[in-house]
Amino acid sequence: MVDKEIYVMTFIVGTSIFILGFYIGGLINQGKINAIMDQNELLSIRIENINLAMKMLESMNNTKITCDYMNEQLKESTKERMKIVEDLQRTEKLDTKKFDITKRKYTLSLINIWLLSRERDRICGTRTPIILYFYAIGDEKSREQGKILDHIVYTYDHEGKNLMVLSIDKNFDMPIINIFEKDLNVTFAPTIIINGKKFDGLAKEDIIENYLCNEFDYCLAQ
Amino acid sequence: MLTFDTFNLYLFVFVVYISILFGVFWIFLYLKHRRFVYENINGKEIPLTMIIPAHNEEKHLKKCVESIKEQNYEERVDILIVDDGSTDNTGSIADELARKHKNVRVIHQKNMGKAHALNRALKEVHTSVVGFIDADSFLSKNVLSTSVKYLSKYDSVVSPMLPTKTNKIILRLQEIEYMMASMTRKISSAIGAMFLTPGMAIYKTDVLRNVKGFSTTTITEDLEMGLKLILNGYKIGYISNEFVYTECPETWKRFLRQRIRWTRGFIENMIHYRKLLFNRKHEHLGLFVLPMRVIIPLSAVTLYVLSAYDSIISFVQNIIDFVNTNFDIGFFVSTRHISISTYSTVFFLILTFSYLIIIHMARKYSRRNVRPLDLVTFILIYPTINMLITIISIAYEIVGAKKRW
Repeated sequence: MVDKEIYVMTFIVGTSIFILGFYIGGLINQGKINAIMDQNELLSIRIENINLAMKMLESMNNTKITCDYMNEQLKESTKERMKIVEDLQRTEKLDTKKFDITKRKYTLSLINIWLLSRERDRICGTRTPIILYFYAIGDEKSREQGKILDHIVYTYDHEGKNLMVLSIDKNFDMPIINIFEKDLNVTFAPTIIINGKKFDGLAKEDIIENYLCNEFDYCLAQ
Repeated sequence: MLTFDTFNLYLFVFVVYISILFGVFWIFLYLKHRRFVYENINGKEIPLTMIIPAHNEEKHLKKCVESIKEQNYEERVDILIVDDGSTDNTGSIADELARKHKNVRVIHQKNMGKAHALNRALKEVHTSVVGFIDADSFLSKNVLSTSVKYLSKYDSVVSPMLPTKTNKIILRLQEIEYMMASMTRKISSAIGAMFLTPGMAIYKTDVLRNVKGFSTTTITEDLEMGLKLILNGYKIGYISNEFVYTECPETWKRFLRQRIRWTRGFIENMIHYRKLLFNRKHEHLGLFVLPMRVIIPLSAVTLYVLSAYDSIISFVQNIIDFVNTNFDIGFFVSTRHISISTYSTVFFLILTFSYLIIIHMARKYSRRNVRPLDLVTFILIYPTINMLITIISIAYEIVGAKKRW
């Protein structure tokens, strides 16, 4: 007769250790997500701050101060946003609820930044290129496009030029994204929109750089 | 929908879960049977014949015979050396030993393999107990007297093994593995789940004859013999406190060759003796130990292969990115991030901890120390090496590659 006691004990203790492992892993992950949420919160505050400051400065009719302030703040918010993206990419998506909330908040911040940039252009009379990048998770072409855009940002950054890329998950279920997609007629991923000009499918680096140079006089030195 | 990533995740969780269960199982078994682990059995000494199959063993044969001669054993021990078509001086050394010692006999045969040599020698045995020892092994002083006493409880008795030399890292890694194997085999014998007869084993002669000796078609005759004995209702015991010392491969090439042979032998025998798996009649062995020995490596290998596939895809993606970004090395380096999964880290630590407990028990059982650096190397690289060996062995089995000794 098989000694069942040893199996019962093995099952109970083994399963408990396994669950404990998941619990500890979950706690650590939760800590990571909480840190991202905090960063997200700070970004939201910065955006709110820019919004308020913009309204205040506009009423003072000092365009130069307003523009300088907005340029500076938008540059800072880009840095913060990039950090959040990096952390989000490194976080395991097992705690889907929290991850989902974080991503929603981040997407809202993203759209706010886009609106503020447009507002900045209106107030300052500038025409700054902003790249809206619609991607799909698990799509190889989207992944390639993401890398190409990262490289373009990296190259401009090396020449001291700030280029804003706002990445939006095309399939993320959020009403604001649906409005965006309808308004800009985005039907598949990857799609790039630079101030109204749409590039369907994978857009190579030279095509994007040429467009930025010709349309916005935003050229690379080399 | 079950995606590639989700499947990988589920498989990872499954492998981790059953590995934890298996680790906990051994720890509980040890705790429950710790008295048994160091047991001493009283029994009588009886005449026995030790058979030494030898093929090109000129370096070790004399030492092996001397270790048998020096046994603390009052009864008669006959030694029968089978020179299996050696092309070096093994034959003449064996003849010399036979001339020198009355109780040493030699059989010369053309090279037919170990199992043939053992079966041939078995026909010449006139004692009720027979033992087999590889020519590259030697015995500690009380192995035979201890082993024979165990025959009052078992039909076959196996001895724990340790490497003779430990002067190289590859040998010390094998030493840790041998220590762990010795301890888990000892505990296995407590629940009737010892299922192989490696290194030095003694048998009741009539039991061996009843099962018609060793199979000549397998490349791991010791495993085949163990499974055959179990299937025929015989019991295999494992002695405590005494050790057999054996020569282990000193180069990675020889090590791989030996391990691939063992793994292919395991696969071959598991297929042949599949009726033992999930067989209630064979209790712990059939219901848990053997199935786990099959399921854990198989699922771990699948996970490993899928991860390797993932790495290849990632490598190809990196090349595409490199081309797409105009071969910008600076960008490529600056955007590399080492991403360590939280759950993988936690479970790695848990499994390492249970591994350490088992190694500690094994160290105690074998009365040997382990250098911290060897322990770290063992934990970090040995599972990967074993995984690769299993993958190569499965691949060889699938393509039907020729089996080599």
